[in-house]
Amino acid sequence: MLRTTCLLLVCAISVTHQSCSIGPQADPHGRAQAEDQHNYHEACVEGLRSQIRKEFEASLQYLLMGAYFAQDDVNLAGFTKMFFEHADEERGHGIQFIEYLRHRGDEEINLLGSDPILPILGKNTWADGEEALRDALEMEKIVSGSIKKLIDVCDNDAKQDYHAADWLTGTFLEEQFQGQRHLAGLINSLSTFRRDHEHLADWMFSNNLLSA
Amino acid sequence: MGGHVVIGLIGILALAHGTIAEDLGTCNAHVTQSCSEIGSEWNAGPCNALFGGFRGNSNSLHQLMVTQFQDSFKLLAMGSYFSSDEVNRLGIHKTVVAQSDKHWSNGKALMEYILKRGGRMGTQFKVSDVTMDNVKGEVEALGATLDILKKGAERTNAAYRHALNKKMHYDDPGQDSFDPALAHFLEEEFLASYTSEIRETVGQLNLLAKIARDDKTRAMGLHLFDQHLLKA
Repeated sequence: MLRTTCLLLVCAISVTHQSCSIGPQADPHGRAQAEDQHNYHEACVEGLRSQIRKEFEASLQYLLMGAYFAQDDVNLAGFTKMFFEHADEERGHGIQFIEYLRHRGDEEINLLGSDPILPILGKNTWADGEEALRDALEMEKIVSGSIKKLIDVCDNDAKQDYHAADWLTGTFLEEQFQGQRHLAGLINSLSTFRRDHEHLADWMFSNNLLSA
Repeated sequence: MGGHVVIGLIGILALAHGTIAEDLGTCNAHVTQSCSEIGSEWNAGPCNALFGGFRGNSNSLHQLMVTQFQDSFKLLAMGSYFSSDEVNRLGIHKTVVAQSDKHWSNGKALMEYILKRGGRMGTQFKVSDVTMDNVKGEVEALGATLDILKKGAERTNAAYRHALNKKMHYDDPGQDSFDPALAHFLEEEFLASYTSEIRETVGQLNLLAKIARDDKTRAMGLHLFDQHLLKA
């Protein structure tokens, strides 16, 4: 009996010591939490989490846009450069959302979910640069609309998260609107400029984008 | 005599037709024919960037590209946990997210290479299986990163081997995969950096694991090593 107890004790001790990590629960004083009950509301946090995926989906769509214009039968390198830059920006936005959630104390491990990440428009060919720019603008508006809804969730009367709403408005909507204005300007310039000489205009416009 | 002339003419016509049919496969013949037609449309036809065994490598390259994006998301998801308040290992976070960035750039480089060689991105482009559950330990995170790097290197080796396969498929030349240009690209852009990154990651892992296995040094050692990674 004594022998069995000793064996069990040895096993228990060796199990507790078999680790390369102290783990988050190891602190005898308990872990400090950045989140606070006055400002941290699950609905807002959940909305912020779901926005990460939308940013990555936009990023993949921009990659497909850039890829189309890099095809050997299209070869408009300026459009490729611009759309690949947008792809990196959107990925950067996704990472900013993750960092913001960590900043506010979100400890969720699986922030990306388990579903495949798909290009947001599910499209891989375009008739010309103008069509792609119009799709890009549409995509930005989808993202802006989703941020607007998120602000509404975070600025709910009962559970207001002023900081998240302010961050979304001041940082993200500001950048979204700048992007929308830029794309709308490009579309309007190209649309009038290319009338009656489409291929020549697309090539010239692409060269301008390349040197921008 | 008349019969011989007719047969001769048919022969000449057949030869001429054969020559034209063969020439239509060249870009020059396609340009000549297309530019003599009425209208303003242009179809690239055989005027493309495809050469060598690229077609035979297309699938393996697409797979390689998608797994780079997939690993980028996995590493990002895993690394982000270490920047949470309860864990606060910002050095591990920085190390893992740097690998996520590298895999994202690798995916883009492969995409650009596929397009450079005359390939296309299909409608099925998506990134599946992006999560890495239950990686909560510091040594574990370096171990998972090492596994991703080694799997990536093995996949690149397989693509490299396929690109140097000299077997000719006479009945279906589209299956030929001998492509020294692709092999060179994989060697220059991927295999060299995989070699360095695998060594660097495993070196860090083995140092940290020794420190973390010892009860006396685990708590302080994990903190100091994390600070070291943060400043690296």
